[in-house]
Amino acid sequence: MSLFWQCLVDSLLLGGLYSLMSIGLSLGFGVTRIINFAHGEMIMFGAYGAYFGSVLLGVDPLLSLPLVAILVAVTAAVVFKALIEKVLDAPHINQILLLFGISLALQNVAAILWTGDARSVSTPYSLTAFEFETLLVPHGRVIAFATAVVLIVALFCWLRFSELGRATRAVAENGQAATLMGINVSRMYMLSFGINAALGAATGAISAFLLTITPFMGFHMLIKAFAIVVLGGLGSVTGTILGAFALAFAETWVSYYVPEGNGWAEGVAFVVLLCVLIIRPKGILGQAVAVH
Amino acid sequence: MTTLLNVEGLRAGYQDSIVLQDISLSVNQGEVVALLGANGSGKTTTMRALTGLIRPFGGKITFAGQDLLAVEPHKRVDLGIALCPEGRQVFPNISVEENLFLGSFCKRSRPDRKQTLDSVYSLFPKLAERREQKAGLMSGGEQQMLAVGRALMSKPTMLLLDEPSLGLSPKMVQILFGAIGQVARSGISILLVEQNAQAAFAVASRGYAISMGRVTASGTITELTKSGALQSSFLGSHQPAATA
Amino acid sequence: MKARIAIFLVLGVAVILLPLIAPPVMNNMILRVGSLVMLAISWNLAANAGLISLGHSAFWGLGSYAALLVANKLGWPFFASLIPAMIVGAISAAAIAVITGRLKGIFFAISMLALSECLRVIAVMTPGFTGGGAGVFIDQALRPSTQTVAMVTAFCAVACGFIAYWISLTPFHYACRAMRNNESAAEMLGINPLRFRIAVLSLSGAMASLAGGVNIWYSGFLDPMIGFDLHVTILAQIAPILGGIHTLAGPIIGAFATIGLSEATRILLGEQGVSLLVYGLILVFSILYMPKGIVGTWNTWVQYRSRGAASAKVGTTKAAPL
Repeated sequence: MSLFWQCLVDSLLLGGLYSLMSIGLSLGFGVTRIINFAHGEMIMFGAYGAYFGSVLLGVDPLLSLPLVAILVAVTAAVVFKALIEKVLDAPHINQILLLFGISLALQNVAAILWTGDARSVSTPYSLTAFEFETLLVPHGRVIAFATAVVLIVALFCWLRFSELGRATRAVAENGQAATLMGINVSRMYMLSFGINAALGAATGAISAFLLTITPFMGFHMLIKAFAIVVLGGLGSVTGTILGAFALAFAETWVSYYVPEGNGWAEGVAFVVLLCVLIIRPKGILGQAVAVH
Repeated sequence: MTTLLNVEGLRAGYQDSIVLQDISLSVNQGEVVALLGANGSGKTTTMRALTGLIRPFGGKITFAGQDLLAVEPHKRVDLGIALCPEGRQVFPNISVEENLFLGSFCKRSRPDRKQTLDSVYSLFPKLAERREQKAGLMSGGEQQMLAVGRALMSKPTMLLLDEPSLGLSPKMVQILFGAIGQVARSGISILLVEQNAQAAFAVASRGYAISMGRVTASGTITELTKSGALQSSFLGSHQPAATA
Repeated sequence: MKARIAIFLVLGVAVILLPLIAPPVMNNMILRVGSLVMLAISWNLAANAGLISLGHSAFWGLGSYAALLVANKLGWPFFASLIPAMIVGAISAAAIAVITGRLKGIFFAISMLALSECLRVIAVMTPGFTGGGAGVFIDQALRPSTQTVAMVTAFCAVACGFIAYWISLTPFHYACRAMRNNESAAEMLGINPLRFRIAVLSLSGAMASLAGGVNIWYSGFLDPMIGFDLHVTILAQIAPILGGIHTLAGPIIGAFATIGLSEATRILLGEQGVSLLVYGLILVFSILYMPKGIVGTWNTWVQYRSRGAASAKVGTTKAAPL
């Protein structure tokens, strides 16, 4: 029974992190209709930012998070303007390969700058935990979860109530009509790509004290984020959160209840992804996507 | 009467196909002008060129003395020109009220959007009833009201209406054109694209008949109906209207 | 036409016989280029039908494992082991074609990426069967000489080239092009998209698996990281993009260019990360400034020159009456 509760708590906490990890990808796609294959690298840069903030300046990852997120977002917006904007009307193949190329280049820039060595950040809350009888809840994970929730709620409020948030939703629904409203669509694209990057970097900053940091950490997170976004329905931000928790539950259950589950859990995302594509390619809440 | 919108020798189209050969027209301050013609004659393309959704190949467009082609599409709303596009194009998953707020996104209209909203609601009481509903869940007529209301939210000096009667019941057309007449009386200039000439004549004072991307006739509504220019325009005749 | 085929045949035979006369150090190079030619042709075939694979390492790895397993468990020799490698590649490709159904573009790309990762996890987690994460050596007693492997690679690469050439002569080629541009229009022409997708992908998968199967006999060692290496996926797409996507010669020229570039960066800069960085930059550069690749850019240039000459002629005839 205690295993059950431990599993439940773990999946909830992981679900929060997964939501943050994939929500930017979902938003970015919803607005620009471009899948950001470099999303994983934004997470990676966020993690390195937090790492260097912690190691060189002694700043806690949570404190360096806003600055790191803004830096990565600005860089991403520049990359968008300089490179990605040119393929907005190009065939999908060009978009996919361009983003894939950017991702590859960023990964290896990091590998050259900072070597392939695995790193980790230790914080006062890295190794401590709440204990309720047999239940063990690490502080780090709780803090990560709380941060994710705060950021996601902030994103939702921004989308729901701010002028630019509303404009973002309008652009996602109908770019031409948005232009008629006086909305600068290409700037909104840049903005949403920047937010996508900022959320990715924030995920990275949080994972800095949960996971090991390597230049190639982004790739695995990217595939998981894909699985989540496809599961929730491409472009649906609410669906993405459902997808994140679904994947977190599935992975945690496999790692607890299947023999050698830790290794198999790594594959859950792919199985989920393939299953969704077979059974319901729209995802949980998505609209029709088969066209593209 | 001062000229608000002036179009001269406009040529436009898509990629390699030219739709507009040579369109010249003008709309004066406070005037309602109808742009009439059959399907494919170039009415919608004219509207798209005016709002910058397509870039014309040639010609001149001036609005309130300003060269409109030099203004980026999204900045044209700020000048006071608003389009209610063909097929409504409301934002389907966004509530009615938010759709209207989006209409007043531009800086010029944002400060007094509350008052504008009230006036739109009094023009279309149905929208006030449905303010919380998602726009996509409304009937075609209500969506058309929303589209007109949304365009009005930017407090335009010139309203472009592209086939507002398309696919609506006769009763709905009547309600809608009643509202359009009201808008016209408030002093907003209107360029109205219509296939439903009957409805257009109810509000317009002048008209242009276009066919195959050219203006084939122009004049007051009475002149146009008498000369038979409209019939030839709708039948797609290549003859200049004067000889018809 | 016949003369062309004859030239191809002579060239092909020359390439296959190359390992016999080339110095042994060249075998490695022949093997790398040959494998990449196969991968690139295979990737380009799928791309021709509008299917962008971001997981060609899946087929490569399956081929490698199939060849290794039939050799180690059943004692099959080199040549025989390549047949199951191809079959496994074809079947798994057909399966993914059915699974992804009508999903094009992004979804197919992501599915392939996921498939390759999924297979890697499976290979790690089933050590009894695949040797697991520790990897496994192929039965040394069965291994042919490096020269033989190089010759077979060259032969397979030439064969893949011929198949691609042959396809370009059949209506199949037009069907692919129709599907790439507009699937529903293709359907109206009487093309069954699913059947074509299965056919194209099976062929593509078989080629990539064959390349993987041959390679395992050269390297002799396999683990999941090598088998389902992202590197393979990247190379498989870079070569056709650089050479010229949707063309016949593009993947082949691209394979040579890619290996050349990779060697050049290795010699000049040394580090492994640098070559991957260069691949990334090539992708970005090619897509933005040379989307038709070397072949496409060359063709445009030739056309431009001949048209320039033609228009110059028109100009003179026009000018004459004045």
